[in-house]
Amino acid sequence: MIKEYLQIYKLNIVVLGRFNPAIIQPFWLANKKLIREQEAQSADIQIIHNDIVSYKIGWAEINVTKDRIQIGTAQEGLFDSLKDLILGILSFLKETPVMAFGINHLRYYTIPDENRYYQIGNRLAPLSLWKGELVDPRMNRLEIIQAKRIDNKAGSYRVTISRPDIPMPNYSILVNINDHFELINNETITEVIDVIEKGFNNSISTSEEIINTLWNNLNL
Amino acid sequence: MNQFGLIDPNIAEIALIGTGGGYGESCVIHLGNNEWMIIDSCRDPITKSILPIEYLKEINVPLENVKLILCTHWHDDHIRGLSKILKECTNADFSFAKANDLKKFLLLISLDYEKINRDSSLSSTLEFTDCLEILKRRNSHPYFASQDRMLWSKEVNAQKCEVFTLTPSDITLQKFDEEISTLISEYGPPNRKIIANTPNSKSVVSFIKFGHHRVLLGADLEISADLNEGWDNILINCKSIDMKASLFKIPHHGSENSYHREIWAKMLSQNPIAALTPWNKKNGLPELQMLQKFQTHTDKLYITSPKVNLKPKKRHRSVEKLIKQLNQKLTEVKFVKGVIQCRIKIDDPNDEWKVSPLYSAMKIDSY
Amino acid sequence: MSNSCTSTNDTEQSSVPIDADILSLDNDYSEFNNGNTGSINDNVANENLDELNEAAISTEELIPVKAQKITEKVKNYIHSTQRIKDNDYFLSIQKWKGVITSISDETFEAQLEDLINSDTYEIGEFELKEVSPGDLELFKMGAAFYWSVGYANNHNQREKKSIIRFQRLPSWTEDELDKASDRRNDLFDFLS
Repeated sequence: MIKEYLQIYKLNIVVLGRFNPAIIQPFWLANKKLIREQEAQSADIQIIHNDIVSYKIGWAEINVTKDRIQIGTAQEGLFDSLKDLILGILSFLKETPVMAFGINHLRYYTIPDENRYYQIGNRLAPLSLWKGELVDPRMNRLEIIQAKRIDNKAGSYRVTISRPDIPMPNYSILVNINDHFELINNETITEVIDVIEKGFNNSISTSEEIINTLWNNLNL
Repeated sequence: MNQFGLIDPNIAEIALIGTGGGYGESCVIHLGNNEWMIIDSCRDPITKSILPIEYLKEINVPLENVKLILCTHWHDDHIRGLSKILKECTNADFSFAKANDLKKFLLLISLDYEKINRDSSLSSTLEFTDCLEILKRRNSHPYFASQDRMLWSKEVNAQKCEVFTLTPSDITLQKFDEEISTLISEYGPPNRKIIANTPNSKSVVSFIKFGHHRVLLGADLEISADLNEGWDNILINCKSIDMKASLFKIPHHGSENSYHREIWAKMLSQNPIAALTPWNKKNGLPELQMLQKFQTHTDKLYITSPKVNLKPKKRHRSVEKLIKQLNQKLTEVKFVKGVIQCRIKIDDPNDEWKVSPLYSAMKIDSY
Repeated sequence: MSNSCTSTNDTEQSSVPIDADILSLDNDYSEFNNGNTGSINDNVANENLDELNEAAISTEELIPVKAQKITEKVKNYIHSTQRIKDNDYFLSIQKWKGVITSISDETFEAQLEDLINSDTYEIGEFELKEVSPGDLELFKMGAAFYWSVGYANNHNQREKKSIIRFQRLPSWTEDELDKASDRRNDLFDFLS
């Protein structure tokens, strides 16, 4: 089972809309009781500006630009707290137009042996097709899209398999699943909050099923 | 006729359904003439099936024959699945204990209902509110349970069959009004879940008359310091008790603070059938000393399932090991289904109860 | 799979005068403004980080903010520096949601819903010192918390970990209170 090779599971929630980044600062979050006071005090701030804020509060990273909020954590035990945090932020931005949101599941695996590692790439994209003009081709990145959601909501799934974007042991891969929700009916923030709340756990379990199915089908 | 066969219209039945103590309990009652009553509800946490409905289906009773549903407590822990029962039992009247300050009580449950949009796991009164919404859609008004309130009266084979509620008393209702304010301020915020206090004086006790036979269903009623509440109030002030009961559902899992010697002396016949459900949490109920006490009153003592040793939930070895290494104390609240089915002829004053312990239910012989 | 790649994006980085004023960042967001809700990290996954380092402007130099313009590269750099740090990750092997049911001097008890296998529930006993100081304001009867056990990476050292974090939900909004009030009034009219 691929789960035994899992090293890191990071969750990023992205909301696209029209935001005022300067509002969503650590002390604003603490003031609204969305994070601990101490977390605001010890926030690791990279930039606070009218057009972009970027900081860490220990367990979560927060990045806000005028059209995007992204919060993420690599602490699997706090994924529900992450969901509460984004819902809490949105609940204070009732007049904000929101166009889409995505729940991104970044799973980093370390495959125990070189053979199996290269087999994965070879099975996903048979390298024999590329030999000839290319010498010793290797798969670098693969992206698969499902344009329709299985829950009949507007949106899509995008699965990307690539090398990790962080330092990892050899023979590691990143499987990134973007669970994308399109908001096409001028949904209010309240409705958006409801969709995130109801879809969150399902998103996690669906992303796991996608990977398990792939792994079973790879038949290594 | 076996215990799962069609019941004779002249046979009264009381089926006490237990779940081991963490998942509620319920009573399914045949009032005669194929008309049925359900008190509270409980649900199998694994299959999610609603146990009173499951029981009625097992004995081939159509749900449209359920004519009365009594809700003894508004907290979800006591009535899990009740709204589904009400929805499917389209001919049933609904009864619950009304609050004097109805508006304030409805604010409590309405705020609690809003938690659905934030985090539904923090709501504790969803079932009750859903029941009220169903009644509203049907334009079917509830019957309010209170001391000496008659909810049902019909003749079966020229014998009167009646259902009375004996609680809550007027004083209890007044005190509850004060309690509601505290509940709203303490548990009103969206990130707090209402914790149900048991036993309590608001729990609805019922007294059922089948011809010459009487049944006392004790719910979770406690002994109160105030004689105008709890069991003392019933003993002193209730008018609808005309005869001693031969079947007793022991209140609140046989706990010490719901035991009253005078109940056995004045309200129950000699050597009655006594049934109880266990509570498999903490130190567990009933305690051994209480079982011994009950056995001084009757040798026909039944329990829906035996007390179980409290253990952690079975998990993958690596998970169990880590939990142990982190020195964490966990115990599983096990689900154990048991039914104590009791039947008696309504028109025969000399008939005796036929008791069938089903599933994990058993007779307690000696301790 | 290859362990190295070169991006085909324009690798030229215009230097930003540090003491110029910021005008607008809108033009730099086109790459991100395409409705893509993938993590920003997606877009730098294939960037050659060395390349960015050469052109990078230290994030410290941006505070206080006086730069003329923050270019896309700088923005990318900010995000690329937010890599998962050595002590940043925690894989849980079991998760629960708890509600406090009793509190005593040094311990508290909670009803626990297993979030992996939600059939039967459990009762857990915890020590008060397991509650983080920042959560004490939330520590009350009926309060909800998340509890997770698993393995964390602490500066390349694997260690067993148990995390308790209390659930934080904003107070009721006026809308929600109005809704509750409307429901109350409807039910009251019906029942009376």
